[in-house]
Parts: sequence; structure tokens; C-alpha cells
Amino acid sequence: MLKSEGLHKSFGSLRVLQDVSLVVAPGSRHAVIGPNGAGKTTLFNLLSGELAADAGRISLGEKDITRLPPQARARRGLARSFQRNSLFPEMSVAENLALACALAARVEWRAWRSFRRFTAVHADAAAVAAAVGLQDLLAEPAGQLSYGAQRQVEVGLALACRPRVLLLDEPTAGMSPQETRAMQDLIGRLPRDLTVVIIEHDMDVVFSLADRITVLDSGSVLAEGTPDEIRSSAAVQAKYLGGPV
Amino acid sequence: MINRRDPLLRWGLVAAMLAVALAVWVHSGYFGRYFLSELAVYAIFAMSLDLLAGYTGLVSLGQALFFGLGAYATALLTTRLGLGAAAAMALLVPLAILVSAVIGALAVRVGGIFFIMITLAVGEMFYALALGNRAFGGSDGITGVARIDLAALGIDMSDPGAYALFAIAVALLVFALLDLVVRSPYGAMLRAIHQNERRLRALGAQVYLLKVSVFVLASTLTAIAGSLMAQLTGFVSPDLAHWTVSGQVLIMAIVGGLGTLAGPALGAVLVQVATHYLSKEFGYWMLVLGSGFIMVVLFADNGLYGLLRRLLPRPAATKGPDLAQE
Amino acid sequence: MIQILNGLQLSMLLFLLSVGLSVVLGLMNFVNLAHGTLYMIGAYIGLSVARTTGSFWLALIAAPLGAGLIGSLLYQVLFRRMQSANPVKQVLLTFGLVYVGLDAVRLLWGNYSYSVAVPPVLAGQISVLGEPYPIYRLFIIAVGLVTMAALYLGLERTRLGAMVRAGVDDKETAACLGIDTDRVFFLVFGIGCFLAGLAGIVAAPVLSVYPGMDIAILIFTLIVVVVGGPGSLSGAVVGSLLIGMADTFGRVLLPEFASFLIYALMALVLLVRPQGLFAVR
Repeated sequence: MLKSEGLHKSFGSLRVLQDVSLVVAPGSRHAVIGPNGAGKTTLFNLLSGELAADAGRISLGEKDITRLPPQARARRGLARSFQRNSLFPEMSVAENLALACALAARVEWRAWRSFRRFTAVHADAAAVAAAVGLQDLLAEPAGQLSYGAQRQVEVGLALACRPRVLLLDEPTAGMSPQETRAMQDLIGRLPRDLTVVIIEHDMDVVFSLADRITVLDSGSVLAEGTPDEIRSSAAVQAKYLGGPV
Repeated sequence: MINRRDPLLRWGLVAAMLAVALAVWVHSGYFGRYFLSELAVYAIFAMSLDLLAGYTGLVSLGQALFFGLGAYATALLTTRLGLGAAAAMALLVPLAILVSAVIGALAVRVGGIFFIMITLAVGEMFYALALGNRAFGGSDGITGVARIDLAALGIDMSDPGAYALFAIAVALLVFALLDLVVRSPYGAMLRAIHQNERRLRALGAQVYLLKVSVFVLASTLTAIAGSLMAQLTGFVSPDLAHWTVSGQVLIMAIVGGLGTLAGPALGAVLVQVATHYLSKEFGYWMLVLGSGFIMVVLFADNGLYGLLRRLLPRPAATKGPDLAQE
Repeated sequence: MIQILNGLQLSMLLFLLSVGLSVVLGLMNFVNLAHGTLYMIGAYIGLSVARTTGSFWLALIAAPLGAGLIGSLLYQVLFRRMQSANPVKQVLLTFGLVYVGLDAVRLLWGNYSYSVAVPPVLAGQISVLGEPYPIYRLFIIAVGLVTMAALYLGLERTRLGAMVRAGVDDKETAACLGIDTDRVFFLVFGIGCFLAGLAGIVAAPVLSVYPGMDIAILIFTLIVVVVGGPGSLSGAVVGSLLIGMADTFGRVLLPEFASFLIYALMALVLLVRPQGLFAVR
């Protein structure tokens, strides 16, 4: 479903990603792990189009999306959540989600009708809110929510795009164990026809969710395989898991 | 945050302003009615700037370009080509759309601060053009601009009272239009651009096109205001496109409250009234205006509208989700 | 040849003005629209000093110092508290100052246009490649070049310069490294205003002193900053040379379209490289 081949990215003389290839099967849950600075978020930035790759190809389904800007990729069904919350702070949770749903419904250019009357869009937004557990906070301004709730909105925004492929960048970052469990459940409940790629540091979440894992280290792919393969890989254990798991 | 109370407050404020305007109209003579027309023109200008700067966050210091464009187009079309003002107004719309599309397409490519700089520069370019060009009458401008002819409806537009009502009607129409735009999905996109355009882009919005489109819409409305001004005074000069005009309208919008639509209309009225009396009584009105503006920027973030909002009682806590906000 | 020198002279003036604006923009993400006002104030202070003392040279010293002082004061009283505020708000603040400055100048000096006399030592003409050229304009070019050299050395060789370059590159990291960004900003801003004042007095004999001179030159300066790219000395140099030359030659070769040339240049840069020719980021 999502494939990248030979991605390279450098910032000046700093080589961040080197020959990174990734194949994500449709409907799978693919985790990307690695130490800090391994280039995981940069990889996501290349996949979602925020950054342009120096070399390599990215394809979504059959389509080569390497040259497409972020909005074009989003419209083709590739949505992402950000590592650092990037919301619309002065709008309520409902409004935040409604924005994304309006874009998914392609009504963003309608200028002559009150937004309120687009009931389908708002119903979608409510559904997404319920899916991420925010149904009680709909009227709250996003900027005033707790960190964990903002994280939920962050994921909700990506979900509201009705994507085919969902990129989640450290969705549980900074969350309490309770909140992490809730996010884990949420991801587990996502429809199987949705392909999910997730960057995570929390190994419990990774091993419980992932079908396949790619391990990045210093910009290159260190290992790639099923959770068992990764767990038993000596190379991975040495570098990242800190000894046999 | 925008909530259900806002459209009410907005329309309420406009209704109040309308009531006062009509009362003034009834009780005043020639000059009072003339002044009302002027206020209506500036209200349109300020509201259109608010759409651009307040809602979308594109602060332009060059909108006087379009004000001048509308005025000059009207003047040239009526005096040189003998067209009626109504025809001139119709023709200047595609002209304004074209010019603003070209300028917007380039200017919008850069972020906030640069956008301010570029719009300021481009505005000056038009001013220099109007000033230097013989065909445009140079610094003397053009006289003899006719007003729109509504004789068919039995209205004599040369009567300042009639024209004042016409101008106020147009202002009301513009307000209603912008109110609708602001409450639409498109309007929500504009506000989203202001708050976090990167995220909006990642959600699939064509942010660049949205920005250009709002620039075109705002600028075209400003051009219409310019045309109304030309018809009011019967005269156009390069001064209409001077950067101080752009600045003054921005000040009006900020004093009234950016991003509130009715606020800038109120700001336009108050600042214009203040400027008028200050410049008559006290030569250095720019000093006062500038200082007042600095105070507002420093201390009164949401302008007068914000103050009004704070004075009104808060709505009762809504039970359950309040989905369809604005 | 004469035109090249004329272009160079204008470029030097633009450079003096734009370098302060550009570095402040790159360092503090702050556009001071009142930069032109400081240029104007410098010119007026120079004017008064020249008239009361009869010495251009004293004016040459007083103007930049005066502008630098007023700029520093404004920074401390107004801009500093707005550091963390929305950059657009900061810009608007400076815009208000433009209005205040205009009337303040009118209040103190009246509405007339004045000129400052060229000092006798610099009056007259000199032969350049067989053609006579005013010495004073050569003086302007010299001032510009000396400033360029001084700034280059300052940025590359001094600690303050290194801190400035670090700050333009990445403000947060620089602060984390222990650089007192506050002081650096203050000094840079002050120097920028100093240079604006210098430009004001240096330009006075050639361009005359009047209320409104600030906006005329501000537009050019803004274009230079947009074209050259913020935060970069080379950008300011190349930008001012480009714009100065383009305007001078434009006026001579295509008088009808002279102003358009500048805007066309700006538009071209915006199309091809929106961050400016020598952008740091």
C-alpha cells in the first residue's frame, strides 16, 4: 500500500536518512522504531510530503507521490498525526474535527452556506470524536485541553481525513499509562482496511499492535521483520533493546 | 473562540449602528449626510480588510491600491469613455479580480511579515503610477465623476441624502455577504489558515489557492468602496491610494477588533469621526492616531468588539456537544 | 560611467539602511517599519546640529548617535516587551510609530523641505575617468564601502559577530549555548538604528530633508531586504547593489518604467526564490 524505495535526505552535510526502503502491506500495522535521532520523524516528513527527499521514490498504492506536496498526498488518502501537537487552538474540538471532515467531504470552497447546515460533516466529526474518546469535550477550545486530550485531537484530525494510510508519529508521547492504554485501544479498534504506520518508543504498544517492525538507526534500516524476528534479532538487541528481551 | 453568541452580537452591533446612522440621517443636513456616505465607504473598506487580515491573518498594508484602482477605474470609465457609473462599477469588478489575482498570486507566497512588506511596496507602486501618469491626471487627479444613475427608480442621486442611503445600503449588503462567507466552510478554512496553516495543508487543503482567493475577494470589495468614494466626491486623486490610507484602515480594523467583521465597521466610523474632528481642531492628528494605535496594539488586543463582548453576560453553559459552531 | 557611480551611491545608501533592517529581521524575526523614521530623525538631528554649529562633521557624528539612542530607547521601552508577542503585532506597533514620527518631526521642525550644506572639503567635482563627478557622492560611496568592510570584519572576526551569526542561524540553540540573546538583540538593533541615522545625514545634502522622506526610502529598503534575503550581510550587499543599479539605470534608460523595474525584480525573486537570494534559512 505504501512503499518507499531508497530514500535519502541530508540537511547540508548532515546525512539524516540513507537508502531507506519501506514496504507497508495494505491493512497492516507497521511500526517504525529506533533510538532518538534515528530519523524516524524525518522519514514521516518525507512520506507525508512536508520535506522533499533528495533521492528515492515514494508510492501510495499504484501512484508515485514522490513529487506531490502534502495537501495532494492528503487528498489521495495519506494522513498523518504530528509528534508535537499541531491543532487549531482557538477552535473547539468539534470545530477542529469538522475542518478535517469538511476537507474530506470536499466542501471547503463552499462560501455561501452556513457551515452549521452541513449536518453530514458535523455528524462525521462527532463520530471521529467518539472514536478517539473526545465526545465529552466537543465544545472545549483545543488550545485549553490537557496534553493527553490534545494528543487525542491530533490523532482525530488525521482520522477525520478518511485516509487509506495513516501515519501516527509517537501518538502516546508524553501520555500517562492510562492515556497510553486508551490510545492503544483506539489504534487497535481502527478498521482493518486502514493501513497504519506508527512511530513509537513504547515497546509494549509496539509489540502488541505491530504486524511488522522496521528498526531505524542513524538514518539507515537496521532490521525489518515480524515482532518475533525483531525481538530475537541480535543486532537489534545490541543496539536498541539494550540486551536480550 | 467563536460561539453561538457571536452572530447575534455582530448583527446586533450592526443594527445599532444602522439605527444611529438613520437617526443622524433624519436630523442632519447636507454635510451630515455627506459624511455618512464617507463613513459607509470606510466601513466597507475596513470590513474587507478584516476578512483578509483579521480572519485569514494576511495583514496587508497595500489595500489602498485597490481603493484607488476602483476610484480611478470609475473616474476614467465615466469621464473618458462616457459610461454610466453603474456600468463602470460592473466593469471594475473583473479588473479588480485580475489585478488582485496577479498581485495575490505573488505576494501570498511569502509569510506574514514579508507579506506586509510586499503589500506596502506594491501599494506605493500604484501610488507612484497614479501620481506620475499624465493619463491619470497626475497629482491633480480627475474631476467630474458622475454618480450612479437611479433616475429610473425615481431617485435623484445628486441629493446627498439619497446617496448616503445608497452607500449605507451597499455597506449593509457587503456586511451580509461577508457574514455569510465567514460562517461558511470556506470561512472556517480562512480562520484555520490564520491559526495553523501547516496543519491545514497536511489535512489536504489547498492553502495557497485559498489565500489567493480571499485576497481577490477582499481586494475587489475594496475596489467597490473606492468606486463609491469617487462617486461621492466626484473627484479622484492619487492620495486615495497613499500608504497612509492603507494604514488608517488597518488602524480602523484593529481598533474595532480584528476578525469580528462588525468591529472594524465600528472602528471605521469612530476613527474617521475622530480624524475628522482632530484634523480640524488640532493640526497633528497623526500623532494622536499613531499613539492611540500603539496603545491599542499594546493593551487592547481585541479592540472595541472584544471589550463589548466582555461586557455582555456569558451564555449559559451548553449541555452536551455544541457541534455546529460558526 | 557616471551612472555606474550614481547607481553605486544609491546602493550604498540603501545598504546602510537595509543591513540594519535585514539583520534585525533575520535575528529577531521583527520588521521595524519605523526604520525609515529613524533615518529621517537622523537627518533632522544632523540638520539641526549642522545649522547650529555650522559643522557638517559634527552633524555626521551626532545624527547616527542620536538615531541609535532613540532606537535603543524605543527598543527598551516598547519592543522588548513585545518580543514574545505575535510578530505581526510588533510590526503594527512600529507602524504606529511611523505616524507619530511623521507628526513629531513636523511639530519640531515644521513642514518644509530643508537641505544640508556639503562641507567645503567635499564640495566640488573631481575627474573620474575623464568625466567630472561630485566629490560628495564619492564620499557617500566611500562611507558605504567602509561600513561594509567594518560590518564584515565585525561579523566574521568578533565575538559579538559570531553571536549574531549564531542567533540568525538558530535563535533557540544560541540561547541554550548561553549567549545572552537579549543583549545581542539590543546591540544589533542599536547598531541598525545607528546606521539608519548615518544614512540620513549622509544622504541629506543630496536628497534633502523633509517629512515623508522616511517612507520613500523605506519602500526601497524593504524591497532590498526581500530580494537579498533577511539576516544576511551578503544579501544586503547584493540586494542593495541590484536595486540601486536597477533604479538608476532604469531612470536613465526607461524613465516611464523605472519604478516598475524594481517591482518586477522583486516579483521575479518572489516567484523563483521567495526566501530571498541569500537567505540564511
